[in-house]
Amino acid sequence: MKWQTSIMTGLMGCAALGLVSCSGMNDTETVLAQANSTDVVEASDTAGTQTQGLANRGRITAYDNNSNATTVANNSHGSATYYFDFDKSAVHQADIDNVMAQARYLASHPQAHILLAGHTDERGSREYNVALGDRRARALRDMILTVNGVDARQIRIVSYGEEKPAALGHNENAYRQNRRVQLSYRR
Amino acid sequence: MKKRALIGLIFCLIFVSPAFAALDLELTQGIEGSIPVAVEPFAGSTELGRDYHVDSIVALDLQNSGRFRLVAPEKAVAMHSDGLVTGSVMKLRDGRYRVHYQLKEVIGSQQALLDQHFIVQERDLRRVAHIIADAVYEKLTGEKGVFSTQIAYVLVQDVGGGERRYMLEVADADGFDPSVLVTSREPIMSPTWSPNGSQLAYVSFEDERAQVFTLHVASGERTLVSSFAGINGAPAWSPDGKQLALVLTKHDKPKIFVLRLADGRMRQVTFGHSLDTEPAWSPDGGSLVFTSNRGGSPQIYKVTLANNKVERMTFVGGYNARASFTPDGKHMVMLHRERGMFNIALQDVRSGTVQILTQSGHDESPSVAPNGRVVLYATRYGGQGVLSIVSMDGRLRWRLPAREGDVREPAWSPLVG
Repeated sequence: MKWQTSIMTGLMGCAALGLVSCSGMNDTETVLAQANSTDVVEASDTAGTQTQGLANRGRITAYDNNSNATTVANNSHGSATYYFDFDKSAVHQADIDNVMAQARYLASHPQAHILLAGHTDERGSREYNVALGDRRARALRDMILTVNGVDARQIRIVSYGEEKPAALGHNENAYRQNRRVQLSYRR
Repeated sequence: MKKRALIGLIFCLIFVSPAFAALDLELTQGIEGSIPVAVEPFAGSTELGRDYHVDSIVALDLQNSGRFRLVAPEKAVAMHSDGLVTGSVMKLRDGRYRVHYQLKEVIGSQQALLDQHFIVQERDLRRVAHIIADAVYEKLTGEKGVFSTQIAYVLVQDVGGGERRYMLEVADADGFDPSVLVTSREPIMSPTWSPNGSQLAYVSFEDERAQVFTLHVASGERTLVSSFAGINGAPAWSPDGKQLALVLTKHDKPKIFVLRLADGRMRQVTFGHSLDTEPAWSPDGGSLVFTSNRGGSPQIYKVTLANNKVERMTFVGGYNARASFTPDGKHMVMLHRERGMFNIALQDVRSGTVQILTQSGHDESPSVAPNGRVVLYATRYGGQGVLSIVSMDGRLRWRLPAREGDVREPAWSPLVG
């Protein structure tokens, strides 16, 4: 029973870190969405050094040129998916901590760059959905830019509208998984 | 009694010509009031391959135009048919085919209204059939037929491992003979024809960014025309072919711009904090209709290019988008949502009256035929994205042959020649 308790604590710890965004979705769907994601975080601190982490892990380790390892503070950065309500581009309250953590990382790592990819569910006109996805991505960007030291050039935006769904169904379950902005680190 | 005979004839056409078994005609309200015409099987056509039955293609073209009602040739007189099409196909010694046809008056002098012949390779037999159908159509209605036109569309296929293949294709207006012009692992959107039919403009997401390209259909050669940060989307050629309306987020919000192709000069034509997109030119080139949420929800607005003055066009329903004008400028066709159902609607520009043309609830991307008689649009059927055509009065609807994958975003070419 002891090991079960420690696993539970570990899981709760990870959840509490907020690295996995749960806003607007139940936990099973969240886990599936992350497990299917092939996003790998890569960011260069200095030339030749790369940090790597996966969004559903709690720890990220950075190695500098001398192979000295420092554990980057948990909850600092990593690829993430933020979900949105129908026809809305407001960032969920539950996501704000994570977004701010990404922003602080960008501010302290001027070489780091992110791509914010906006998406919508399939309902409605395709080009209008590109505009909606763009609006969502910009809402994230604007929030990140409130942190001092982040350069707008560290953030690139693309909107796929409804063209790259994460879930292929034609029901609210699928729609919920598709209304999202995916944040990923790019060179 | 008449109706049953008609439906029987249509069933015969569909089953006797296996090439068209995939084409599905839905009679929504019957076809009363259409022009009766008869097409006799062409002599010698039993020798032809499945897809090359000239008379069947002519008959189906005329029927699917929404203007004609096909009548059994032996009943042509009794049905007061306006015309009878007869013909022959003969294989020549050099392997080519000689196709001869006549359009004859049924009553009165029974003179030949049309009498032509063609000499072509087998692969051009469908084109000849469409040319014949166009000639018959124009002779009997006074209007141009669209059977020799083409359609462009996006085809999306699953290639496994969560990956998709996106293709920009061009096919005949009846869906036959598709050619792939562009293949990509990232989305392709919004294909649109230049007014002379020689080019397409479209949006590509290769390189994880939106870009607008123009593409020469014959050569496949393409040119990058817009690659700003953010949105580059919804291209639309001006009627004179010299400008491209576009959507850009140069100032943070999607706005309509007009790009002069000769020198790249860009001019902003809509302003403010709203989401503006999906521009479409008026036939006289003096204004654009576009989708905007400046009133709170997506509606259609019109901007006059001379002075950038904007006026709202749609007042029925809480969501109207992707509008375009009919060639005579008297109507707009658009995506319209009512009670959560997305259908194609027709709006009279002067009166504002709206008529819903389709019923599935998940229709989108309407494209008006260049003679203004029918609308091509995207819908879902059997779990796939397919294309359908509906007549302007909403009475006739039919589906184009389904493909492997999802077909979407159709664009009807201009009239050729």
